[in-house]
Amino acid sequence: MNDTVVRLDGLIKKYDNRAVVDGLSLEIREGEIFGLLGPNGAGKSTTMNMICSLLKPTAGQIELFGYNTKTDNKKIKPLIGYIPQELAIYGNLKAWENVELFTSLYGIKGQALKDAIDESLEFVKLSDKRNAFAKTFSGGMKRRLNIACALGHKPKLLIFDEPTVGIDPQSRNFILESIKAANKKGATVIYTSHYMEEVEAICTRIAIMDNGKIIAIGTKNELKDMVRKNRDEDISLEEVFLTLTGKKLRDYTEG
Amino acid sequence: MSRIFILTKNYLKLIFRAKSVLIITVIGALVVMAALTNVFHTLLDQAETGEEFTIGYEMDDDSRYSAVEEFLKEGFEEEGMTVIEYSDADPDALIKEEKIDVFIDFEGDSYSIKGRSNDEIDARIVQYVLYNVDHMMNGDMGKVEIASDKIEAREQADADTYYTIVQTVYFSSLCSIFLCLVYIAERKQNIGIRFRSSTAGGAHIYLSKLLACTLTAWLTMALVTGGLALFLFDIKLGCPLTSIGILLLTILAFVSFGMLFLIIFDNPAAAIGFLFMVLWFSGYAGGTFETYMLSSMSQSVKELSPLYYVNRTLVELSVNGQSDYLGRCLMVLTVMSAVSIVLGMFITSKKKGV
Ligand SMILES: Nc1ncnc2c1ncn2[C@@H]1O[C@H](COP(=O)(O)OP(=O)(O)OP(=O)(O)O)[C@@H](O)[C@H]1O
Ligand SMILES: [Mg+2]
Repeated sequence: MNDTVVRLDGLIKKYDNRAVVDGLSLEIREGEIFGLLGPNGAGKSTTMNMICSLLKPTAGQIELFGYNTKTDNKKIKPLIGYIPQELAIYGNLKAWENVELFTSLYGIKGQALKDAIDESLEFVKLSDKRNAFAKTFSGGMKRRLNIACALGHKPKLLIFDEPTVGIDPQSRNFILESIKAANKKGATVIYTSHYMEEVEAICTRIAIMDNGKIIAIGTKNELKDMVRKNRDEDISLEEVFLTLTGKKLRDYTEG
Repeated sequence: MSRIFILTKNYLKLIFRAKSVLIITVIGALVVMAALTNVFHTLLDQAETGEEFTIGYEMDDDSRYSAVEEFLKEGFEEEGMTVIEYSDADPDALIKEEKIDVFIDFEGDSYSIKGRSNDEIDARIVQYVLYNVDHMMNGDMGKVEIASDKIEAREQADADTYYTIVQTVYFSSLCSIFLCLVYIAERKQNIGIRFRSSTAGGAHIYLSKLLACTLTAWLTMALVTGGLALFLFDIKLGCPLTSIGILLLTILAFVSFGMLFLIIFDNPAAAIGFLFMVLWFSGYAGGTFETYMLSSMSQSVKELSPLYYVNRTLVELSVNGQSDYLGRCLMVLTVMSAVSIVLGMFITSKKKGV
């Protein structure tokens, strides 16, 4: 029981009476790479923002590491590393300065801070670019720096919100590998995406989300079992999504 | 503490990496101040060196000034004025016929001055001389109370000194513009997300911005005033330590005040536009463009402007070496800083910076 890292219970977020996240309940256990799969506008980022206390839920409960976000925010925040969907780095600061600044926000200083900078940059393979300005980076490098900035305080739960949007396949593979590596080192990971293959490749459990609701949840094989007639049938998550929602995921995402 | 230190350090890097902005600010400030000072100089000179100036006066026997009549006459003549004594004259008629410019009636313990309404400057020069005499007599006899409206006439800073001081003060009040460099970068680059998901508090975020901007402004204004003093004018700051202290405090007060606008408005351009309007009014009322001695604005309007207290104190310190406004000036600046900082920190805690 106490290995539950995230517990959402009847989570609702409404904008102008429209429920963008609509009664979400789920549990994520320690050591998982949990995938949240859904088309644009499904409510993935909104859910992540509520988990990180960036947004107040309209209703429902969020428990992280056994703490309630409403009452124990201070204890929760150092445990989370949030990699936002939109880049959040200073173009006019060097790579190491970005990591320094954002790591120091957690009260880390001195030698521990220096080590954290080195490790974070090494983790995303930007050590050789530590003295370059972030504004001179390619899209992929910026994404990697964006990740490094959330690692310095050694969080136990990493939340990646579409970290591979708009970058080349090499950088994408690199990022996916890093996520697996971080997970091996002990971090629990939440990974949101609208790319099936990515989710299929790295996630241990997947929730399919549409219109603010979770339609199905399970390992990729469990999800496929919901749809296929016999075990040997080879179908993709794409087809699972199509069958469960009656919509094509790609229709949303590529336009 | 370490958070504020590291944040401040990085904000300073952000500000100083916008080199062009800094250079333009310093050079721009120098050029504008030199130009303005020159223009005002010419204006003030024209106003001062008018045509012949004639004073008529009537001295009652019981006037306490009768003892110093000769001394007074000398004083006026030293200022280049012609002095004529009258008895039972009709001052209004004399002034109307342009026989005299100003009439002084010495009666008992006091005197009254009449002048052509458009000759306020001349009337003030007269007051100035009288004030000096008062002052001297006061020193000798120790019993004459000087009404505060007469004190006003005593500063006769020359144009260079006056305008260099008030322009320095005015530019100091505009220094929160440096904060734009930080706020624009943060808004454009979604940095607020990181602040809000971290354990840093509003105080960390607020104070480091305030510190970075205040330090930058101190340095910039030191360069600007240094430049003015070295190359352009011979500025006499009265009581240098006090004056410099006031300037530093002025910058802190106005940076924290300007920062409020940047915190409240989500759009930095709107914030700066609105702020500069307020500061322009403050300068207008406080003697930045028109000397506060000659300004026709009512005293209560002037006193709405924090710049009035600063200008007046610095000018009086420069001319007289002391100022009755010093206490009020320090108080206005301290209250302004304290209120702005408390409010700014509070709002930043609510919105966490960006
Ligand atoms: N501040 C807001 N006000 C009103 N509606 C909002 C607001 N923020 C998000 N929404 C709406 O909520 C819905 C879900 O948005 P969200 O960003 O969570 O989707 P997402 O699943 O992350 O999509 P994407 O794949 O495009 O990132 C969208 O329809 C969006 O328009
Ligand atoms: Mg999103």
